[in-house]
Order: sequence, then C-alpha cells, then structure tokens
Amino acid sequence: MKENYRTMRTVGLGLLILALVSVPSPLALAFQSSSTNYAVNEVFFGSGGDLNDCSTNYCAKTTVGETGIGNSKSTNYQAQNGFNTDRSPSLTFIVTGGTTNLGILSTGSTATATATFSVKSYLAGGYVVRTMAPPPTSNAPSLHQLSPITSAALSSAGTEQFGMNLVANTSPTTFGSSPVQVPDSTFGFGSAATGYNTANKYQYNNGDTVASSSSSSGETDYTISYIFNISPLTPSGAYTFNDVLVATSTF
Amino acid sequence: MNYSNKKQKWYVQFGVRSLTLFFMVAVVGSFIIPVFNHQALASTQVTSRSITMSNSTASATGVTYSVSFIAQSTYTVKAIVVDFCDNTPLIGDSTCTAPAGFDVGGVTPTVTVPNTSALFGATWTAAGSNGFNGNTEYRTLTLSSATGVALTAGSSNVVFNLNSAVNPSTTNHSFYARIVTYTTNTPSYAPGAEGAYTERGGAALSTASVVSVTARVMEQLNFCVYHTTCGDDPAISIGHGANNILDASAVDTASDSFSLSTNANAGVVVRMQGGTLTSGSNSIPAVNGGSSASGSTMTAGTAAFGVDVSTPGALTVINPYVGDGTPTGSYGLDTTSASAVGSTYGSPIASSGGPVNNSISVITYAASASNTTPAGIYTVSEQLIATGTF
Repeated sequence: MKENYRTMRTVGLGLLILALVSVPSPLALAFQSSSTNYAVNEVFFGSGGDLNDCSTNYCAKTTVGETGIGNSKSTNYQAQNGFNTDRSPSLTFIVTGGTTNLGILSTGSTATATATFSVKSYLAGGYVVRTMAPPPTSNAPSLHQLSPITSAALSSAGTEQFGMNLVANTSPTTFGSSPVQVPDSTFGFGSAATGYNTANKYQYNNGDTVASSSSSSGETDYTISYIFNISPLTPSGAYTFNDVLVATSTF
Repeated sequence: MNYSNKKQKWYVQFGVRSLTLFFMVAVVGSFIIPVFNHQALASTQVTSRSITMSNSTASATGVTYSVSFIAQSTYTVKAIVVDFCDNTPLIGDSTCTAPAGFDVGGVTPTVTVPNTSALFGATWTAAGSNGFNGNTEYRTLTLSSATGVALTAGSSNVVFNLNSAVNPSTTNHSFYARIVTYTTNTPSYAPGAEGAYTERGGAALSTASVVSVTARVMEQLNFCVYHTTCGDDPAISIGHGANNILDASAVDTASDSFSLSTNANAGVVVRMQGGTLTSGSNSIPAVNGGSSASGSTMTAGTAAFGVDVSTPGALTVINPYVGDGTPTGSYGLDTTSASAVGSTYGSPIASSGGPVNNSISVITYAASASNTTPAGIYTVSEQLIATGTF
C-alpha cells in the first residue's frame, strides 16, 4: 500500500516536473521580431488557420481572425504583420540584357537606346541600384571613352556626350519611361535617383546610384534611356558599353 | 470503505490529478512560453546589414563583396562566418545549398579590412570551407582573429571586403548569405548547428544580366579650300592697278582660306602640290632660291613667287611657309628638296599632332616682277592635299 502510494506520488510529481521542463521551448535561432530583451516568434491570437490549405490545384496559407495584418511603417521603422508573414529577407533583381547595335554615330544627330530592369526587396530597409561600368569605350589601340555627362544636362548633337536617365523623355526624341510600380504604388516604392530623374537631362558617373527605395518594396519596373553624341574630334572605332547594374539591399 | 481502499482510491485520484495537471501544464506551458521566453535569447541580430557586390555579372571573377553590419551586442568578436546559400538566409536552417558556380576564393580567400571598419586593428585570417564541385569551389567564408576586436552595441560598424569572390553562374539569380559572429576564433559552424554564436543576420544578393550597347564612329576628314565661303571658287589673281598686273613697283599678294576637321588620332598634314608662276617657257622664280629650310621677304622689282600660311588655325605651319601674309612678310616655295611642290605628294605646309575641329587657316600667295620679266599671263595651279593619320 505504502509502496503504491509512494509510487503514484513519485509518478505524479515526475510527470509534473516533466511537463514543466520538457515543454518544447521555441528558442528558435531566428525570431521574427526581437529587441534586446524580448522576442516573439510566429505567435497568433485568432480563430484559426492553416499553413498548407490545399484544393486539387491550389494551396494557400490561411488565417482567420488575425487582429492585424499587412505592412505598417513609420519614418524609420517598418513591420510585416500577421501570422503568415514570410521571415526570409529577399532581393529579386531582373535585368533584361542583350546587345543593342546603334550603327554608325553621326555628329549631326543623337543616338538613343533603352534597357529595362525590375527590383523588389522584402524585409529590407531599402535598396539601391548602381551602375558599375566605364562609359562607352572604343577598341584598341585608341581605347577612347565617350565623355560622360557628369552633371545632368541636355543632349547636344555634335558635342561628345554619353549619359542616361530613368524617366520618360521628349528630347532628343520621345523615348524611355518613368518607373512603374507593380501592381500599383501601394506595393512598390522604388524611384529614379537624383541626377537620373529629370526628363530630357542625362548624366553618367561610374558607380552612381541610379535607382533606390528607402523601404521594403514590391516590384518596380525601370527603363534606362541612353544617349550617345559624338563630335568631329571623337576618335574612330567600335565603341562598346557594357552596363553592369548592381542591386544592394540593406536588411 | 476500509483504510486500504480509501488510500487506493486516493492513490488513483492523485495519479489522475497528476496526469491531468501534467497535461494542463503542458498545454498552457506550450502556449505561455513563447510569449514569455524573453530571457532565453542567446543571440542578437545585427542591423543595417548589406553585402555590396562590385560586379553582378554571372560567373565574374575577382569580385569584391563588401560585407557591412552594425553590431547590436557589446562583446569581443573573434570570428565571423559568412555562409552563401541558394536556399534561405535564415540562421538555423540546416539546409544550405551552394549557389552553382559560386566561390569565396578557394581555401584562402582574399579579405581586406578598411580602416573605417570596427574590425580594423586586429590581424584577421580568412578561410574558405564547405567545398563543392570536387572542392574546386567553396561557399563559406570564415574570418578569424586570435585577439579579436571589441564591439559596442548599436555603434560598431563592421565592414570587410571579400575580394576574391566568384559570382554564381546563373544570371538574374537571387542567393543569400548567413552572417554569424563568435567570441572564439575557432567557431564550430554548420548550417542548423551554428554553435555558440553571439550575433547573426541574413542578407540577399542577386546576379544580373549585362546591358550591352555598341556603336561605330567612322574615320572623318573634312577639308575645304575656298576664297570666301566653303564651296566657292578659290581661284585668285595677283596684281595691282586697273589691269591687275605684276611689275617691279610692288610685291602683290592674294589670299585663300582652308578649313579642316578630322578625328585622326595622330593628326593631319596639309601639302601643296604645284609649282611657280609660269607663262609658256617663262617663269617667275621661287623666292629665296626655292629653299626648303626657310622663307624670306620679297623685294619689289626682284622677280619672285612665294607662299605663306599666315593664320594657322589649330595647325602648325611648316618652314619655309611661316609668314604674316603682308607684302613685307616672309614667303617660301620649296622647289629643291625631295618634298618640293613639284614632287609626287607635294610640299608640306602645315600640320597637327592630333584631331582638329574646324581649324581655319589663311594661305597667301605673293609675287613681284622685275624690269626684265617677260610679258605674259603667268599662272599656276596649286593643289592643297590634307592627309590624316588615324
């Protein structure tokens, strides 16, 4: 009898202790939100949900009755609210590459070209896109570089110039496009950078920031507008410009 | 109920209650602990973290990845691990697949620490690990220092440059970096088993396609000889008086112009091919004996014919044609050297060392007759030829 008593008591106490110490501690190594002393990880107060709610052809991550969802931000901080938020920061950067051949340049007119790229960045404090390439350069032995427009200026045929911008233009011709937020401006927040954001004015400095966002941003589609002008003094040769664009997000 | 039955009943009740309590605690505990687990944080997340690539082209070599972040804890850092993955930037994820084609730069990657970095001042050793593709590429960078440096929460900006990176081979491709810091210079790191680290953070990067634009600039040489305006007839007549004649009383002059633009890299030479004034078998001799070395002034009454380039524009005038274009100035006409006006290619009169744009020069012809110069109509055709060296 006494042994049974002791046994049951021991078992009960053991179970109690086991409950207190072995409850899975979600001491995850990556909390969604944390400060110096506090953190929360995927806590949800609501009516229900499913991380993998599927029909024959579709699946969804669902929640019902969340008290607050979506993006909220102030001047210096932002948060992605909700149970279903993805905790992986990301950067998606797509450049439409390829080669454009402008043919023979003339002192009497300006040659133009365009290129496109898109950026989206999640859980970021923003992003910048830089152009990391020397101006158009001729082949050896000359290796002459077309004079870049170092401070935004108008195009001038007959004056050696190379420049670009990321807006819609009407001079020297109608070409280019301003940044487009996809699907609209409540999701995307990217913009052309200073020096590259004035219609009909062009600029180029190797290493310049040409586009940026100061917060996480959905997709922004950009169009680069390039101009090429030569003077009678521009050395002959085959000129090539390989625009290397680099996107960097800060998380 | 006897004593033993009561106790047995109590035992059962106690056991049931214990079990019940166990499950209650388990349920409530699993609910509460996530909310109140503040004291269990073993690490902080570095902020303002970024990895800036110097080149986004797929498969580019010798690329610099500038890693930057601000520490959020105060401690002495002795090792930093940066693990590049195709999967996620999440520390704790046990899966890290190396981006195809990526390499930190072998087992001994090149890392530099700028003097503005919080890491500056200590000696850092860089090592590559987690080799793949037959250990020809390595995905993990470990930076370690025996002494380390002290970091201050919220202010220490850690920056270092991995200068030997090889970009992933897929273009427009997103990939990730997991950053983990340690207070030991011999960290035991593996994805999902990062060991006793102090701080962590993830970052995302991307390769990108290159936009190429090509164009051609042709060799150009624009040369025009004219009297007043390019395109008019540059023919001139030298003389004075009502009949516009040459005689012993004066040195007469007449001028034309020529314009020149060229992108010839090595410059341009203008040559004059022709001769001296001739009427049948009679001729007016070249000034200064036709010397190629220098010109000379002309004297009224001494028969002579010469040329000078008085306004050079962007060109340099060549002897013996240096002059001022006035009747009392110096004139020349090379009729004696291998490059005389009568030679195959003519006599060089002006040149440039490089490209010139819309250079305007004035060429002046001067002549005088003596008292014994035979009468006649004296003519000469002087051709100006511009040759660019590209």
